[in-house]
Amino acid sequence: MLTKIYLVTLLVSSLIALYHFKKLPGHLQLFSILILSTFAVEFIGYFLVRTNNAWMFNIFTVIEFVLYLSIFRHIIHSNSQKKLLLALTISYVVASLANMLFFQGFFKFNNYSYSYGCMLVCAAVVMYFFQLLHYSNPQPLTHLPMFWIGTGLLIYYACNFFYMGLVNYLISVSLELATELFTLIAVLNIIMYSLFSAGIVCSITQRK
Amino acid sequence: MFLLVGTIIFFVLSYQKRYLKHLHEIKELEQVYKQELLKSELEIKDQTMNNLASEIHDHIGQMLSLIKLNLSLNPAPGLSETKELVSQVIKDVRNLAHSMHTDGLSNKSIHTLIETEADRLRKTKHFAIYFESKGKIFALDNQTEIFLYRIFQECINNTMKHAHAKNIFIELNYSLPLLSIKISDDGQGFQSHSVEEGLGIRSIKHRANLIGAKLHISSEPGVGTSTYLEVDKSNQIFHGD
Repeated sequence: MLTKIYLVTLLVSSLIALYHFKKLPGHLQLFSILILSTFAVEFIGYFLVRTNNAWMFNIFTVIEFVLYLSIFRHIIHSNSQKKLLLALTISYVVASLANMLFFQGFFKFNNYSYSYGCMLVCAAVVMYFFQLLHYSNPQPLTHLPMFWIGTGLLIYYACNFFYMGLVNYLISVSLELATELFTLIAVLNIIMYSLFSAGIVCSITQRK
Repeated sequence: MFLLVGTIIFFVLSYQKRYLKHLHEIKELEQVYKQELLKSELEIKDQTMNNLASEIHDHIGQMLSLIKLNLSLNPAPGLSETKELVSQVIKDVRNLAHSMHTDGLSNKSIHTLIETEADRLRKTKHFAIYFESKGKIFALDNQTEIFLYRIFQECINNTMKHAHAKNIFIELNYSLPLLSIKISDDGQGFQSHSVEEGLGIRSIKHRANLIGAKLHISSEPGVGTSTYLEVDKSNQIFHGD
């Protein structure tokens, strides 16, 4: 049931992003493409759930995290932080490919590189929030689309970082516990995509 | 999870604090800008007054002196009253020019200036003037006193033009650090909400705002108008530099 609600929330976000695509600034257009492709992957994944669909998510998560990090690299002003984010993105791609080819393999979900990606996205959001705190001309937070999006990402990926990092251990201890915790992740997913929708709507209302 | 929520709340609160501080700074800047604009406007107005005063004193005063001289050369006995009237006009014009010119005000206290003006008005015999001063007189900064005097002049001017009053009451109350000035009349008054704010009242409000004075204008049709002005010596925000 929760998965269906999550897919509906994701669909709503995708439709809002698609509807307003032309009016959005560059980095939010990239973000919209990401939401649309997430919906496509999740939709296909939902129907391929009885087969091994891990390979698809392994590839997609690499693209997803690289895009998230690129979006934050675009909106962060500090050159040193931009360079740091680029270095972290490269390190993530290298680590993910190495994990995929030499460690966890292509057909098993690469939870360790996923966890690393979660950590990097959280770091990028924190960098952006620090930048907001030092703005010389601060705007109301509710008028900043990236505040909504960043909050959604931080809530979801901070929790997912621990969950995905410990998922193998949790399964070995109690499959029931791992499944129950996954319910929480689904709820966080719904929250995240709702905040994404709020961010896109906010961007449109601010540009009017 | 709690740590995460706490971090986000901390961020939102810090940002909000900064945002409110920023709004406050903008408001202050706007206030300073408005004050400066007002100051310039009033300086221009003062300069115009000074020019007018010089013109009245130098040109009209000189012409009147010439008329007086011509009259004194004429021995006709019927002209003595005219000569007296011309002398009185010369005196009045000189007083008027002095009261308009800032230089003539700068070394006098507000008490002296208002008292002199009250005497001058009394001599016109158009109104009965009641002047009263309470408390020990103290000085305010020169610019503030000039502004107070200009407000006083504007009030009297309004009374003369619109009130049709018979009596004007002027009260000065010195009570450190406050100086209050009350100008009231028994004229026809007005309904404050029905009268469009004219240049005079706006000028009074601008000047009062500029020196940080409290201003209260009350009026009732058939009863009269009263203007109350209060300035705090310890809280003078205007410095005439």
